[in-house]
Amino acid sequence: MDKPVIERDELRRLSRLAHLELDDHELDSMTAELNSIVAYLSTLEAVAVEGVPATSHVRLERLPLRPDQAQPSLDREAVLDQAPAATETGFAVPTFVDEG
Amino acid sequence: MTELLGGRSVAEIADAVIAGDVSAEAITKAALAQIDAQNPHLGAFLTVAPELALEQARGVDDKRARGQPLGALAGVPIGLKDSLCTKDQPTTAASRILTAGGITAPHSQTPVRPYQPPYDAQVVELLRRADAVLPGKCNMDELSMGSSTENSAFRVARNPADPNRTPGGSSGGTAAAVASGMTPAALGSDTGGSVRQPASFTGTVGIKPSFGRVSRSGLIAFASSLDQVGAFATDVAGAARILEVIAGHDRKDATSLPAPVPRYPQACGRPVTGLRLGVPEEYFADGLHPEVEQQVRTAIADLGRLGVTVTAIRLPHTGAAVAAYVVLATAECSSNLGRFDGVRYGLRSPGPDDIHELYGSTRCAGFGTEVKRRIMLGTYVLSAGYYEAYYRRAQRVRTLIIRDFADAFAQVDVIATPVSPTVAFELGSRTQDPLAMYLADVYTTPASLAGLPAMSVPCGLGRDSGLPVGIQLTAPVLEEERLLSLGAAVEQVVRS
Repeated sequence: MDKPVIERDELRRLSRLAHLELDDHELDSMTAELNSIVAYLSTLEAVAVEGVPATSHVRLERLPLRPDQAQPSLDREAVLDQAPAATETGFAVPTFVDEG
Repeated sequence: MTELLGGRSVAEIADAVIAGDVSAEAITKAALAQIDAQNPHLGAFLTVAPELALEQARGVDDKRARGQPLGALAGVPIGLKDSLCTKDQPTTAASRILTAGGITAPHSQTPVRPYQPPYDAQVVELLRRADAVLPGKCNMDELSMGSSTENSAFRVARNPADPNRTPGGSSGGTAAAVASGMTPAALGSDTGGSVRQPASFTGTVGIKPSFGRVSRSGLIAFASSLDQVGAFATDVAGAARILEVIAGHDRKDATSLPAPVPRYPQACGRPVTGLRLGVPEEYFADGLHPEVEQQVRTAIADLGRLGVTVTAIRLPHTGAAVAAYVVLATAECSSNLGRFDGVRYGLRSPGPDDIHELYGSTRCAGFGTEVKRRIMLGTYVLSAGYYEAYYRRAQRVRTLIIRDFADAFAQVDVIATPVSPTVAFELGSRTQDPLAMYLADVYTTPASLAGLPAMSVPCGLGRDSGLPVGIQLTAPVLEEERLLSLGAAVEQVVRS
């Protein structure tokens, strides 16, 4: 693997993926910082991992299932009370589906 | 008033309340007085709830008066890291994203309408059932990301041993609360060392259980394959009593283990003669400050005089642990923090008519710099073209680290190492170099990656700085009893 360098445009693309609207100052400072960190992470290349399986979780290969039965959930009013904007039926957000 | 609390351990307080020698209300008033006196300067607590705490304490006293049995933590004031959900107290994880409007003014420490969870974390519910008293929520690095509590959106926390220094992080406020005598115990969380390192820096006991030993339900997630709720206490016996209360299977956490919970306090007095202690050479290499090494090696030698067999071992992939941890933890956090989107709780940026703008501007306004940095890094290592090179590779390195420990535990029962390369560092000394901050987790991240139980126990003061040094003990999965037995032995040799 070639040593990657994160360009500022790449960082802007990543910020869109991450839903973070970074300003120019943040993009500038973070470009330098992330490149420094990523350069350090590249030291993992030196570790011999051929034939070594990946561990995604220390003790769980599959999450246990529970019976498919409805169970009590959170108090609706208490939950909606914490929402920045809510209607009687749920959380209120700007329209994002074209209803035309 | 403070004499009621000062110097008393968890067990001493609980036993005295149960016996009727002191009231829970009196203990709670003493704790609140300590908090009033010290918290303005130390910043251990973000939220204090005196009326709620007194109401809980009076409830405990009423139970006793009615002849009802009391729980194992009766009347004990216990601080809670502010990433643990509490249905009667705010929960912010020290982040503006869990407030309705950030802070009231620049440089203010008052969050605007902090998030109020509709439920308790499982460990909080268990503490309540054990009749503990919960006086408030402790300061931390924002969303558990940091090693100094300097990333708190609201205020820094200070080390009671030297207020110009950090108490560590991310559970720094929790450690400071215990070290300063505000509470004899507290719950934090540990992902890569966030209980053990603050414990070492503040001269308290801090235990990170085996992954899955304690439910994560209601703990605001950082990295879901690494996070564990841990306990701080003034002594190993206190940590043991708390662990016994909070450990156990929880159906709300699918990763919690169904293993029975031993009587952990009974492990504290067990003899350690014949226990095999491994000392890995990789943890005593360049970068370890001599004053830390001296205290840790002295404690190991003293354990040898108690009949513990000390053996040199190897953990050959130790040097890759921090890099693997950074990749995996940031990858997981970039996913976990997707839930903070301005829709269901917390901060929402005013103005955006477009859902994507709402997400982007809310998250940018609500998250601090370190959190954004980790989200960006996690997004990068998971992105197309880099996933195999970073994320999958780090998962394979994780396997190698797990195997290192398995090989070591075929020869020894417990492993002893330093917790951190240095004693507590000065506030502001590392904030400009995030990589340096990450590298300081070199001794704590391996046990996290392997899901092993590990504990920091005070083992003396650095000869140069006079600041606390902790020794880290690591055991195989679900062998917390070995940690507690040996930890109690460390206390014995340090006292003598």
